[in-house]
Amino acid sequence: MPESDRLLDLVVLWEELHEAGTPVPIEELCQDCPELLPALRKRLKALGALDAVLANETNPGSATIAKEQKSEIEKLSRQVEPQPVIPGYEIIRELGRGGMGVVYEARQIRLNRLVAVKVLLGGSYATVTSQERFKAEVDAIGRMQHPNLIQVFDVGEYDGRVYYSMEYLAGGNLEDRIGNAPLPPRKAAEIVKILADAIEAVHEHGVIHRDLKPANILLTAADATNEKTGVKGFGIPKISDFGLAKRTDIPSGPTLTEHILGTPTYMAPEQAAGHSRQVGPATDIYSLGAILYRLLIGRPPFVGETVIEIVRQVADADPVPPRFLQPTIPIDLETICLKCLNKQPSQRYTSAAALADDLSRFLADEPIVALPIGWLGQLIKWIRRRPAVASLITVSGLAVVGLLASSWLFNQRLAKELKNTGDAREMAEVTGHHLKLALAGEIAATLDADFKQLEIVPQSMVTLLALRKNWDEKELEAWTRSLVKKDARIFGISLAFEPQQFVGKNVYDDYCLYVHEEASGLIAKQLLPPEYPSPSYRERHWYTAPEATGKRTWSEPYRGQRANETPMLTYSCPIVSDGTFRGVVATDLSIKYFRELHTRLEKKYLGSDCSSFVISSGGTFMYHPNPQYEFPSENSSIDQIPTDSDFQAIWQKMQRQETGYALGTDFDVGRPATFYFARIPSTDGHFVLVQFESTPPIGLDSLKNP
Amino acid sequence: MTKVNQSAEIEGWIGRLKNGDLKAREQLINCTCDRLTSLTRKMLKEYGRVKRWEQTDDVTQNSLMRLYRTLADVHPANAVEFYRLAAMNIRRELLDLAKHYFGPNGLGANYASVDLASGKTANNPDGNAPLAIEDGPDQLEAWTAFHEQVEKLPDEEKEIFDLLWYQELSQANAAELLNVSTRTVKRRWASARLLLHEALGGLLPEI
Repeated sequence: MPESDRLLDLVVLWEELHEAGTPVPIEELCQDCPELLPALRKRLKALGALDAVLANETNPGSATIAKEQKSEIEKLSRQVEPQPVIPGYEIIRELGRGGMGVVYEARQIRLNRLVAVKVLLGGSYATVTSQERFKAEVDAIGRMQHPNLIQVFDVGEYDGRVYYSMEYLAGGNLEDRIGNAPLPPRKAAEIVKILADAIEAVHEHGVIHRDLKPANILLTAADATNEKTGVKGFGIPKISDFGLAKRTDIPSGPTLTEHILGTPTYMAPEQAAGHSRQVGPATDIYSLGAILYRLLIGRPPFVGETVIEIVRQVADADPVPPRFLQPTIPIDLETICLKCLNKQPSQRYTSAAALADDLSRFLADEPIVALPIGWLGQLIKWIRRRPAVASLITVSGLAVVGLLASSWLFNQRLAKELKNTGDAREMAEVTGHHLKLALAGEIAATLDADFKQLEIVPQSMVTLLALRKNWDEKELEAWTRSLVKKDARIFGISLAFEPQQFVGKNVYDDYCLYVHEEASGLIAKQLLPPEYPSPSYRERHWYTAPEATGKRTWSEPYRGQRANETPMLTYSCPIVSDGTFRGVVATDLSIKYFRELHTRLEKKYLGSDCSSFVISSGGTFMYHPNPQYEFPSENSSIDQIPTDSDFQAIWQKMQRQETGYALGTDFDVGRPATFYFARIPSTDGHFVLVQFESTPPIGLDSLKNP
Repeated sequence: MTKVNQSAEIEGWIGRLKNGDLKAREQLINCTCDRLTSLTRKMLKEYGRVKRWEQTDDVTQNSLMRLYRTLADVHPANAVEFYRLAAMNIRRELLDLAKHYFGPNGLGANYASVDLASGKTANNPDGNAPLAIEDGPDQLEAWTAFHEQVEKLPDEEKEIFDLLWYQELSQANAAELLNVSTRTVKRRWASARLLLHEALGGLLPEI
């Protein structure tokens, strides 16, 4: 064997012994090969030094640094970065900084006026890209003169750093000025109209801004007015920060395509996709539409916890029409806004001037050019993006079902809208009927997605347990603990084996590890007598069901004996190797989680007008409005199928159909009601049942039940 | 989420990615998000500039976006390939990070390495004078070299390094994924580290 291989084996052996807690001096390792001792020593020393660097350590990120240490960092940061000394300027304070530069408030000495000075970060060590972008920014602004564009006064260099000075505006920026509150629609329209005019001037100079957002719209003092270029009580808005501006007459360099440029919240879909060749004037128009949306609603069209989530929505999702959130917004203004936000650049306004013109028409109470797609059109658009819901549609000649992300209130409004347009009352109710059916499907689909995600933990455990026959008991327990700990939805996990199918330090006849949450923390125990009374775990339903069927199964809801009578559900997966049943992984999930999820969905889709229930195939309600409702115990007979005649009709349909409706009386006060139901597909028979308070519509019985 | 079930989850999302599930891309990114953030911060941790932390998050997001875009065109066949792609992406972004902030010449040449508690540096042992920006580079350059050398490791060693260090899988899980014995994983891991140490000439990032 080559010496290098022998040395590698010795290194591995040394590490294994250390990990096992039984270290051996290296002289002993090299007893039979003392000539390898110096080389081995050298290698171990090298590994020790490298391992110290590779070792995981507490994340020193800003989220975990103690406040005191953070303020110390800030103090040192200010010491390290003294204010710049720029000839001709007296620096007053730092206004802010971005990825490329720092902006200061300063006094231009010669003219004794306040200015803003932007200095490129990194000085002479700034990358070529940064320097080029800085120059492009200066070049872009310097070429244009417009009352609503920030004016550049001076460009220069000091100590190897480039800078430029520009107008200083005392009114702050639009982002800070508006906060989270919506503006009156006319004021929002005035502001965006002024910005659109300015952007038209920018485009005429062959420049695309690419980073329009409220933070880049600076404002003069509120009392500074100009009828044409300002907004009364708001000041004069001026577009700034051309750091990402693109010249349409110069091809983009390769580096510009690699990164998402711009703020995703106000970014056009073509930007989000990184298709720089498609970026053009329509890109800025989209951003103006997003700004208009923000001014009208108080938040951007898309929000999310991560940049990627926002980018995905920008690329794929439709914005909620503004009037759904603020019904007082005039329909024309909504139309203008949504036209700007069209995913297809070719479907937006052809120019910023066209956008400004339509806004002018709106402000003058004249008809606008943009055509509204209307409520029905929006519904059709929404449904086309949801093929599963589209399959529920049965009304011939009228492709209208589905619900935009709002509440049942929308449906009422839709019915009224149809009445107002002259459609028959019956057509409105038929439409409503199918909307409700689609609603049930939508809620079921969302719950289904969550159930599917919950199935991943036990399924992946089963995969690994099936591949590996020998386990260290401690390792297995640690692994199971970590899974229970990391997912708040999981109440407990059981790993149960057939006799002699679990091999740890011994070959076990009985092995059933159960890790679960208690108030004091995570508890791991063996579900064996005397603590776990008979019947044995191998005779319990969560074990026998997957054993008998060979399939993954969801249990009925029950009160868990293992877990202090907590109401729960169990998802059991069989462990099978080489065709042999070896045991079960069972995940206990608290009913409480499903109730909370369900309640959130109910609020989101139904508002306060309706109630919905989730019921199992055994007839147990996962959530029931009656607080006295009792879950069956773990070992009791679990046939809870309601026996009243009204519910029987619904129940029979639920056994035969994936989705549908039935007439009955509500559970609360016994009024006539229509129940709409849909299965949660991945759970083998758990249903969503939706109850509406309305009297069944005329002629409903004649409608085809899907 | 633990790395054990993460690999199974990744396989699931890869399958859905192939079927055109757009959400699968986002979920795959979530699997590497924490690790990339941690590695990026480790590279910059010596810097006492609070704004750098903000920029760290920007860079992290940039890197995740790059991987997100890559997954639009490149569909890894399995979890191993995904880990490989993610680790490569992390390495490249961290290298770009160094070049972005410090240019092609003299990486970090003018930024002091400072003891946060005392303000002391190599040139300012008393720690009571204003910090001078004249100390030599170390951290960022060292990390840059580190990632570059990992990229140059032989395939088997690089793969193990990706799985065990960039992706933080355990040795047992890496063995399962690669369908080799744990002993093989240990040998490759030891070999990877020794080769890396040799390639770095003993100049390691400080801890």
